[in-house]
Amino acid sequence: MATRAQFENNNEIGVFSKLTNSYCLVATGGSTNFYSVFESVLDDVIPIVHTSINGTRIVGSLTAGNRNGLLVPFYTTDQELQHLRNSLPDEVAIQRVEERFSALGNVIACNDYVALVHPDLDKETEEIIADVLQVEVFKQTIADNVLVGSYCALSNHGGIVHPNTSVQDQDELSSLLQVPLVAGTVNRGSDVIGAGLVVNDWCAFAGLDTTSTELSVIESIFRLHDAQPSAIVNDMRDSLIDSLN
Amino acid sequence: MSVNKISAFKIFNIPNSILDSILLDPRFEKQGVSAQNIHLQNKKRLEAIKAQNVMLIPDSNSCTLCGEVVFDSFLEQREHYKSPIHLKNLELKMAAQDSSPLSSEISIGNDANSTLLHPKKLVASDIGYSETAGIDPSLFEDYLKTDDFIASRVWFSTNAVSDSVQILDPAVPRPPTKLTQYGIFKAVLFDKKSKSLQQPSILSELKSLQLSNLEKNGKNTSAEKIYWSILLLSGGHFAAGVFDNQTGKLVAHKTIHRYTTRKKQGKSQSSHDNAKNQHAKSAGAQLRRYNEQKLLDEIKDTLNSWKQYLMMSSRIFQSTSKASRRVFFGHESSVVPYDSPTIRICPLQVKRPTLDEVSRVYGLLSCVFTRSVDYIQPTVTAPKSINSNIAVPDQSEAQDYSSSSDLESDGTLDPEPRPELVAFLYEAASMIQDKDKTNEQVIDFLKTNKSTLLDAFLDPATELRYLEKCPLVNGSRSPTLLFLAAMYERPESILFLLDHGDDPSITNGHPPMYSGGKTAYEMSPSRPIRDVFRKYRFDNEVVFEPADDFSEWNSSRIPKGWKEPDPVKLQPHPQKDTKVKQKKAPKPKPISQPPSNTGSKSDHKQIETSNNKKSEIKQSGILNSLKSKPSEPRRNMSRLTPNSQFSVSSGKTLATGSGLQNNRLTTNALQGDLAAQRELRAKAAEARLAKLGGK
Repeated sequence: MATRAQFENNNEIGVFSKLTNSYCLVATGGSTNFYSVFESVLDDVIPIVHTSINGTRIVGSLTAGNRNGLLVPFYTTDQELQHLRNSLPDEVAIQRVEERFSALGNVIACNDYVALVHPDLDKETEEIIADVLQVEVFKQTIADNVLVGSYCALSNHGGIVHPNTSVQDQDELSSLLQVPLVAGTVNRGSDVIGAGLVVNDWCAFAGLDTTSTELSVIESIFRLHDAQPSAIVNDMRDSLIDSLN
Repeated sequence: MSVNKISAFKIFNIPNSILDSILLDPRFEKQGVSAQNIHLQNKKRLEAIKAQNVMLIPDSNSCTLCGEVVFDSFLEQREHYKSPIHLKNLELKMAAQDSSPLSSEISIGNDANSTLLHPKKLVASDIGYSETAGIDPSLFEDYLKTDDFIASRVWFSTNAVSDSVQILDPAVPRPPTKLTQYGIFKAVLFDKKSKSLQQPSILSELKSLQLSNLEKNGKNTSAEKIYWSILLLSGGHFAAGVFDNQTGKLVAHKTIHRYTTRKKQGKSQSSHDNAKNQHAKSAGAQLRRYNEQKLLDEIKDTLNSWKQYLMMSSRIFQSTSKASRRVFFGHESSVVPYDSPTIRICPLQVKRPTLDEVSRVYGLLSCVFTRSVDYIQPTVTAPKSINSNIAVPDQSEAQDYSSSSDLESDGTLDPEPRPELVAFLYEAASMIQDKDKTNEQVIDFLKTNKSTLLDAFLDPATELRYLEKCPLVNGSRSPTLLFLAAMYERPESILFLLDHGDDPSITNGHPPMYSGGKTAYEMSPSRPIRDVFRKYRFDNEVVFEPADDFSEWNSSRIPKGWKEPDPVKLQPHPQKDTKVKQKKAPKPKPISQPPSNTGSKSDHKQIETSNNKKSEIKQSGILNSLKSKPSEPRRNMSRLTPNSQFSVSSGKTLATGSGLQNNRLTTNALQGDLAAQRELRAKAAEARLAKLGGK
């Protein structure tokens, strides 16, 4: 199920939240409305952790994680780290990463099995990612953008990539990741997919500006709400082709 | 398509390898090509997904980056993605993205290349400063981001495809996916003023700009045109510079700043004076007037003292307001004639003229931009290299270019009228206007060319509807054939045109305040002609008006309702007149119609008895056609003949058939039997009213 949400009048909810299959991080200090959107869907299923990273609220951009683990930048305070340890399930490993590119959410895009990372990431970081998140790591660019975390959204069922990604790249990536991919947008045409959309295997949250066409693409490619990816071509073809022309 | 970048070399020293391989393919000059391509690809992708339907993950286990390497399984592909070769290629690709894609490949014999400097603040003492050798791309960042200027540049492709990523695995041949294109400002390459004349090939123009040519010729370079001059003038600020293209140095410069524009009002004092038609006498105004004159004098002096530079300039770029374009070279004694091909309009937006701005303009104008576009497989006709025929400029190529340069086409979507239809309409117009032609001749002409006429009426080009440009019509107030037919009193033609779909609701636009002008009906000069329109409406209008009283007939402003003309009315007879008016007034109400109809019947009896010869003669043509028409059209409404689609011009209410036409022809024979006709009419009217009452 895909839901629209807004964080303090900002549509880039991916910046302020991180959603995985086993936990959800949300920034502190937002309006209650933002949390209740998450709570209405996730309550009693996975823990929703209110946290900050080094006092900032951009937890989605700064952290990377999946079902198995959570990576936080090196400047996460001990208190915040302790809070996260206390709040997250025991099987989720938490690790601080000493990495020059400290906005881990922007440079890492991952599901539970594979991760795409910024091509300039350290070798050590790469190993940490592979160990903590238990994923295969691939250095990759998306539509010539190095910020793979910002320009794509991945789940175990599918993924959306930057609208400028060439068809060949999409095919290659999709065979590499072994999930179907589409090039798409969120937030009424924004190409910063990772910032406008958080997704796990059974639900997704997109910015309030996201159009219903975008939302139905999201639901289809991530197989939310019984939607199948084939719906993109079968049921939604008209609205999509129309919008393409 | 990647962002535009600035290449490492200048316009004056383009490497021969590039120059020789320039392709002029109009397709590449269009910026929008690849955007369309994306849509096409997306469409294809969606269709491909549909075809697979179940298996959504494509098994294209390949790596484009490393030259289309294909793998057996995705596991192998994953291995490859972790391999050093792939990582190395990725690194190279990223490096290529960061800097200009060419800098690593093309080595130019330009030592100054290494010192990428820019005159951040150029003061008078820095004149010897060399700054054109390399341009800091960051300076033009905003400039490169905007697409506004793309149209002002011409883009070349080379047939030497330059791939920014080297192939590490030489065994795998790699098809070109990206083309590098080179962009140069159009204003540099060709002169807009002499566009109509035969244009030298852009390529030869570009070649002539190359400095290496000059050296090869071995001539004394001082005789050659080796300078470029930039002249900027705006708002009392003047800045000019002469640049030596060989060294890129500023050889002469001058800036003048004077107080000429009115504070808080804008505009120069002289234009204000001109607008007001009187000279303001305030102290400020006099100051500004003086300064303006002084500025012009100083500019003139400067240019005169620069005579040798300007004579040796191969390009003089001037940026002024349109009104003051003649300031520099407009006068008699100017150094360079005003219409000289060396004088070009500066194609850039110029900020306040300063020396900095002058060097920025020079830098931009003289640099070569690069961009990479997705390679599009050439169609059957492979792009020709003009390399072979530089000596003889290929006329067709040049025309190809000029047609694709967006300079002439205004880009509107209005369809072009077909010339043969225009010619026909003009001929028809002249027929109608020709007083010597009888009505029969005109109608015969129209009938014989019926298909062309229908074609013209159905053509979407609006120009066909309006004959303002027709030489004979001479811009008079008659936009359609119907107007002409009405004004020249050709009732048969009016009926014919109406039958075939000339729209009576078109207005002629004169006078515009009155609902956009008059309709053909309103332009009719005499009552008989107006009667033709009224009768036509009465005969062809659907009996039942919709509840909201909407009818497209209303917009033709032909009055509703019709009564057989009363010849008695032609003679001044006050009593009759009032009587007629009384009868007319209740007409719209269907219930009160019978008496009026019977009245008209009796009126007609009077016609016969009075036997008004004069009116009979005058009206014979129309009246015959009017009276001879029985109530057939009513039935025509329900059975639309195949032709009727042509004649229906304005939707539901305007419906006639060519059957009607036939009827008119056949019934013409029965003209004599007027009484019988009238009987028929009266019966038809009664039947209609009975129907109305029933509802």
